[in-house]
Amino acid sequence: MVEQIPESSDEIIAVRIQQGNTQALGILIDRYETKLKRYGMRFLAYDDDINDAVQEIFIKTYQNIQSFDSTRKFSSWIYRIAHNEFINHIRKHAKDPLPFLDFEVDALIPHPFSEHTPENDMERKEVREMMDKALKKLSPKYREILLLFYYEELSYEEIADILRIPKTTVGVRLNRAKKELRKQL
Amino acid sequence: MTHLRETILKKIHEKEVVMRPRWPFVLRGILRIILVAVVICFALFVMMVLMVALRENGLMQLPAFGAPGLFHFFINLPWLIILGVFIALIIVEILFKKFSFGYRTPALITLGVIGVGTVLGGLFLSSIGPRAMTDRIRNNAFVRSEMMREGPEFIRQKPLTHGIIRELNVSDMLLETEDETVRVLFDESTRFPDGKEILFVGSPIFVGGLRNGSIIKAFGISNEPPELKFYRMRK
Repeated sequence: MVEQIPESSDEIIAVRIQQGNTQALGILIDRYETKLKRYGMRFLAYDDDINDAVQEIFIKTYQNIQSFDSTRKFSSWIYRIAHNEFINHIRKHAKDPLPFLDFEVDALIPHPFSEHTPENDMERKEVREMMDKALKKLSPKYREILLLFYYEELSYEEIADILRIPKTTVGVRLNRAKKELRKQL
Repeated sequence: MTHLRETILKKIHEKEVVMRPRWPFVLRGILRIILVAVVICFALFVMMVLMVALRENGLMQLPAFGAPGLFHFFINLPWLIILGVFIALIIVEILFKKFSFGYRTPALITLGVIGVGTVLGGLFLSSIGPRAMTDRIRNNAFVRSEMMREGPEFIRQKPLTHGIIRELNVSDMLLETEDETVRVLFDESTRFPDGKEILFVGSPIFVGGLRNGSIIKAFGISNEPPELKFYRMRK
């Protein structure tokens, strides 16, 4: 019989797993399976690859759960694992190595203000429609940040934690990604 | 229960997938901090040795002589050693990025802060460091060696000469150094950071300028700093 745990935050559930409550992992799998598959769909072409990658993500989450700091957001942590896993998967199967380095010029330079301007619902919808048509044509660097912001609806801070870049760089990169998206259409 | 959930929980139950213990992560974090501290201490120490060496061989005097002094100061710096310090700072920067407070700040800022901190720290330590330690550094053969005065071949003409004035005229003087006597020419363009009062027979001075045989066209003349050993040449 599966233990019923009252509705708790991801962080509290992660702490329970750290304390040895393995069944609690099931709740996190239920919460994140669809999101991670949706995230993976934009990186990988085949369902089997996506399922394998997502399974690997949850396995690594469990194996490394003791490294999770419960004062931080669990979603950023698991998306970071997902980011690394999808990139590794692409690199393994790509003919040429990806020019997708974590060491990026726009993360070197301080940006005093984020160039990304706030949008209303209509604009967001417009961007999502553009993404559906042209996302695969974008480089992984721009593809990922658009996914995290428009599909996963993560905040700048969460995206910064996942991609390990300054918060101000997130805004700059989002703006560039949208310009690149418009160019592709 | 979804298929994925079932698969993963089964693997855990059958010990196919095992949780890693906490201690390797804690140890890795501690080792990272220790490594950052060691590399920073190394960079600070090298900076301190560099500052003492620059004072020892007199290169620190050159910037006081204006643009030509500054030019010779830069091209005579031990660039290999400075490159070593720079590489150490890059290593610190890479390690910093593993911490959340590290990657949230643009690299140029953290590198700038670490770099400036290292230079200032080296300067500070070299001036207040224990006398016994700075003396030992000053007497070290490496510090006094040619390696600390590296530069392109045509530049290795020693832009600094020190000695005692033996004869003084309106626009030139005879300077007795440790090994020889040279003629030093000076004019309105020559800088005197310590004033022209230092020009009298018997005065120990520093002359900034390149040699042409036994003649030096001085772009700067100053007092000899007391911490230099050459001071005992005074007769």
